[in-house]
Amino acid sequence: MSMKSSLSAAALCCLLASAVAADEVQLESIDVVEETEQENEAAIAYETSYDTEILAEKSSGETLGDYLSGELGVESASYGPAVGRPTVRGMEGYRVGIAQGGIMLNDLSAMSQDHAVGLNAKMAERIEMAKGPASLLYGSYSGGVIRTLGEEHEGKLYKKGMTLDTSLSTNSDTNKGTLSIKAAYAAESYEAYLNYYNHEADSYHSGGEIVPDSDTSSEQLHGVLGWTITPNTLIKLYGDTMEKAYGIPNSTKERTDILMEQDRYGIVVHNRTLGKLRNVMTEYQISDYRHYEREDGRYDGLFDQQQQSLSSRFDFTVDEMTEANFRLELLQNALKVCHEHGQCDEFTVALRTDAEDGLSLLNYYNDRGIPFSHGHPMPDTEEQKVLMAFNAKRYYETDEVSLAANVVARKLTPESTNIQETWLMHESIDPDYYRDETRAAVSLSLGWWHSWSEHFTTQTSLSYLERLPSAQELFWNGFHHATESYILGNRDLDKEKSFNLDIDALMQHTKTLSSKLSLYYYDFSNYIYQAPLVDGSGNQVYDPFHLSPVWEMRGVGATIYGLGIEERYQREIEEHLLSASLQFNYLKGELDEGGYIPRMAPYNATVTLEHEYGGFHNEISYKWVDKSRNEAANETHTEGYRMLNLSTRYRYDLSNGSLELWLKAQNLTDDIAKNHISFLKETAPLPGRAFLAGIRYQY
Amino acid sequence: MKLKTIWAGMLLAGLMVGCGGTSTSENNTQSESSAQIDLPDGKTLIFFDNNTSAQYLYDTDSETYANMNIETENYDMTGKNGKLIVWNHHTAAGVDPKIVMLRDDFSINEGNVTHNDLHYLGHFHEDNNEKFFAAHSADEFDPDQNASEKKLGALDALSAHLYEQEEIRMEIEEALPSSEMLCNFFVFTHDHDHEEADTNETEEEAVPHIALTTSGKVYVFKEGETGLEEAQVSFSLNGVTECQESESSIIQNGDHGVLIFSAQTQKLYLVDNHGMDFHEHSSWDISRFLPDGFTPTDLAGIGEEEEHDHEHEE
Repeated sequence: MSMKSSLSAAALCCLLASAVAADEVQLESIDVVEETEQENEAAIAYETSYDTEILAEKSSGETLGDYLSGELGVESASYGPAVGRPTVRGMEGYRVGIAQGGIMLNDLSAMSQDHAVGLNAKMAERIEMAKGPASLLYGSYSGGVIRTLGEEHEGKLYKKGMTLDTSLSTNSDTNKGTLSIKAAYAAESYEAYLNYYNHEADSYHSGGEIVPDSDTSSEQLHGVLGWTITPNTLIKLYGDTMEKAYGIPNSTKERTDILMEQDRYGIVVHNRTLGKLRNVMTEYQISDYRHYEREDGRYDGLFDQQQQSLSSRFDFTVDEMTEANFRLELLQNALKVCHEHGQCDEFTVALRTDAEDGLSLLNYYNDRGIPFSHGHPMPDTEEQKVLMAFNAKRYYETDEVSLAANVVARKLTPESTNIQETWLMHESIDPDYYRDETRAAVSLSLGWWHSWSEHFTTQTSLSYLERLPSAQELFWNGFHHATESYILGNRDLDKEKSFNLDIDALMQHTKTLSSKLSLYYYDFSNYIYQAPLVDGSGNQVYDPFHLSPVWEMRGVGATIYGLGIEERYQREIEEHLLSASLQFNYLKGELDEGGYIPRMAPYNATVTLEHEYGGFHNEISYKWVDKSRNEAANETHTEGYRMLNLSTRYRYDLSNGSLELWLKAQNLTDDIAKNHISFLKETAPLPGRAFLAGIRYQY
Repeated sequence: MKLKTIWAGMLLAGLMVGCGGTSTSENNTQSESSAQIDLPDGKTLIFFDNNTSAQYLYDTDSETYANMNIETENYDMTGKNGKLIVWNHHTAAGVDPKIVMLRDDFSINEGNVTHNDLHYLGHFHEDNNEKFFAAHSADEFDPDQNASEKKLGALDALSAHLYEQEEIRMEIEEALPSSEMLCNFFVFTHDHDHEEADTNETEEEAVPHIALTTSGKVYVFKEGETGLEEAQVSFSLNGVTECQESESSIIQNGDHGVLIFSAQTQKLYLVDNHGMDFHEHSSWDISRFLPDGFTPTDLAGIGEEEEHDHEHEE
């Protein structure tokens, strides 16, 4: 029986067991305390949950990075308007987990910055950020885990009756806009839920100039059927399909664009109790992700990842003062890669003859010392992963102490049949390059939450994290069209290891004034990142086929540290509510061998003033971003910029539902804003001045 | 409903109201509409199977092929054997790229080309501002049948070209490593006239010589002080492990690339150097764009872009 079949069978057994076992439980009266779902701005916690609609109101764009970039320590690694993966406290790519529920998103956005996150932020019901001990339940991520939660992840049915939430917006610069329709019907024991989202945008402008190929088109449909089998058991089936097409505003003369599609199907079983376990959520998901990379209409790249996973999370009360969360996950994914000029409209198996394997690659290795390849850049790979994690919490009068651990075991199987014969890794360079490998990573985290007084609370976590290098970090050896770079992976990369210290403090000076401080210090013994490859004279190395800069995958000692400060003031004057906030972020990434880590967010500060009266909400924000001061070797300099945004919103209650009208003005000064953490900062600055208008109807 | 279904429905509707284009096919001509082939634009390629005499012309712009073995045409090769060469004929009017089907036993080392040594000589003809491939028969070059001076002069120029090619062949053979034997070759001709303020001097660039060996490896040479020198790392073409001159071809593709045909793999390889080193940029299975069962042994191709190449004055 194949691993795929085994996982499917295990999923079926597990889900049936959940349902059957649940039926046998004699229910007692249990008070289920729901975790808070609303953001409490004046609180610090290991898990912070945000209402997606609130994030959408404040967001300047449509990506997950745009939605979260207003949070302390969060930036968006933008790559045009379609792509914006969040970076958290300087952590990017594989160091930030993005999950749907608990399952890591089946996309390739961590692999490369041009690959969009495989979801539209607007489609999530809630977005949650987990860090420290809480994040270990989902994996080992220095930057924590961002969980997008859909309707299927709610342990209850939707609000009874018919619900409709629809909105429409338009953008003066890109001419088009967004449409979202969310409809649900729920009765006593069942529900049907449908969520549709569409985003269309022509290329935008910056500094009065059009940014070529910055157009995007995205469409997603998500449906959920749920029914309560017993008072204790709720089952939700879901399906999701997404299509995205977007230009890559790079410097090539020919248009580069990406066509992405993703399908997900799954079942979630919620048990309030299962024996002594509480809040059991078991999910089985299969998903298929695919994207094409085109240049001038030619299919130059193709990536496909099929994933299935089975996971279960539950709580267990040890005693009155101690409780623990557990999570188990089995995950399998198969990644296929094609990268050949005009040949990647489908996958092919490479020819095999009696010719010597890897001859051309060997010639380059002998000549240049680098095994340059012009074939498919990495073998197809299959990963089988097991995650076991717990987070135990003990409560005291003024303290909460957490201890979390996880173990991740992974079998990685490369399959080189896709690689052209002449570009296979030659035996004399690495005889077991395509070997299977099984590795494990163990991570621990200790958290301490303490209330020093009624006004002063701190939260500290110290974590030791191990991250297994991704297949791409190990195997990629070749050109990447969209980023116009040659990436040189490292087959012998060790696990990434780090000690992460996070300290958050909240001082509630008065009922109206609060200060929040975040300090972090991450010490990596093997920080894996892409660095420009230089020769003995310090000159950039270029690949011999396209003359593109070579970026080498390195694992080095590094330290990343920074702080975030947030001051909030709120005052009511009669029926007017006035709020002011000031946010400041400082971040530095240093290599132990000297020099800085590339693409670290420059210092920045944001002042926001808000005014609420009746149905009106007005907001003005001013963001200052410093020039790049701590640049890595061979990293290009980025000038600072200012961003002035205004918005006004009016909500009107109707006899049936409510109507909301809003207007936003973004980048009013039309500053040319180059995002230092973007690979495309030169060719794809952030959008210039634009006016957005929207309407929302809720029933 | 899946989004793909929605789009498929819309596409269908679009087609029904006539948004889609239509294509017509002539006799012996087929349209490749199921998948985009995307061979380099502007090329007319002739594929010939010396075992069966089957011969097809493929137009990379229209992505259509046509059977050339039509009794009434000069280029009909039914029942004949031959070998194709590409010859950039320099005339007073400019460069006129030609495809010549020589007899397969012809060797320039045995004397100049005569009408007895060729089957046809083809090039682009123009009619109503439309260019199409047409061929002159061997008889048109027969002095006994009143061949014009111009035509006889063309044969002399062709002979000179072939002699020059033989000299280059020997130079490359000398430059190859002792473990390799030459199978086929191509030499770029990049003499760009740079008009400067006071002089009209010609700057000769180092001209790449592409050599395909009998083991299927590609070597690139450039003129050095003491003869040809390896210009870059050699590489192999995927799947090619053996090569014979009669079952391979190399033709020019723009200023910086060649198309290499291998009968062994039945593939066409684009080798170019849009950066620094020549490399296998793409490859196409012949069966993707030519009729099933056709397995050519030879290829020649010309395109309008080659007319812009500046060659050595002969």
